[in-house]
Amino acid sequence: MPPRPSTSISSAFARLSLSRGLQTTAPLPPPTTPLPPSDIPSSSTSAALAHLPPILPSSSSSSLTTLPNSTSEAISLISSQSTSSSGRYVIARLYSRNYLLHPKDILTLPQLKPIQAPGSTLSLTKVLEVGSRDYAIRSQASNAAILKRSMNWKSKRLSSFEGIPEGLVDCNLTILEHTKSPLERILKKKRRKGYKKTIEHKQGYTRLRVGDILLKGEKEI
Amino acid sequence: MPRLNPALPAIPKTYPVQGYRHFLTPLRKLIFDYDAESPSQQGVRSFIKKPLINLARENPDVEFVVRRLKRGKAAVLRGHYVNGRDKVICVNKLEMDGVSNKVNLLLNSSGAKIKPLKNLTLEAAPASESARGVWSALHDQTKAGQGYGI
Repeated sequence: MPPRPSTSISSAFARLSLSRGLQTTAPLPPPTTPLPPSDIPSSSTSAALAHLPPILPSSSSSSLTTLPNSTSEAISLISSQSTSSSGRYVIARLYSRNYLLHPKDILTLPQLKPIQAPGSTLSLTKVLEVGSRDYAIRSQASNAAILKRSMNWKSKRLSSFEGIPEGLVDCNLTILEHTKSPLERILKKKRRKGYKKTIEHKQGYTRLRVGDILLKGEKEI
Repeated sequence: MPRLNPALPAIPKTYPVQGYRHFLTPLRKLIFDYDAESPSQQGVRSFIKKPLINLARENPDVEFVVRRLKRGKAAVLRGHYVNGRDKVICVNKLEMDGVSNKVNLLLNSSGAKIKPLKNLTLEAAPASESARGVWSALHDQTKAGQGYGI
């Protein structure tokens, strides 16, 4: 049975020495570098976890007890946490795909036809969701089950789109350029048939810059 | 309490964001180099004669330069861009429509070096963090018992 040391810090070290596999249980020499601050080293677990970030309290200031009553209330909650140019995101539907966009992002899509001159803007009309860090306004369309139900497989269109009502969110995309990818050489071959061909392909792309996400009532700077 | 952004770096850096809240036409100058006598350059010569004038009127922020080269030189379109790069396209043996297509190629480009865009659908804003933040296992409390507690 090893002798019990007197001080609490040395006792912690003694217990550690057993786990480290040291031959002795004598108190270790004083550390050369300063130890992390520990207020009450009552148990070894609390001392070990003292340097970790504190856990979020269950009832944080940003968690809502009741949902807002009106849309303007919801908008003000989002505005309190973000500005039109930062801290806000929008999930918009473009050419049958959903994109999570922030202001100043660059979206690269296959070349959009008809080709519009660089500098022209396209507005996002099909918006599923807009939000900031802790709050978001979601629509029926952001529910995958409802969105899938509205997909008409025969006409390849949505029969109805229950997104965020128009006028609530205003976000534009600016066409930066129409480019092409580097040349791709696709080799096709069938064995023992003398069939061999090379297909050269350059995919055209349109690059778009996401503008500010303006909520209802906000003016563009 | 509104969420505070992390501390700014010691030496702040500005990042250019083209096409955000303003738009500057990336093409500055478009040079048409042509040979007056070569038969394969008939297309360029006919383009310079008529359609180029209307094109120059439609694009007032682009400088159009027409240069006659000496005998034997190839017909070339040179586009000089705001980012300092230039794109050069040979338009020998092309008809007027072909030359028009190449001119539109230069007008629509930003001058950036051609890079693979297949896997680059979304390029995040420079020096920004996502609005919703990054997921952390230690702070995830969606289900009971998640996160960590002392």
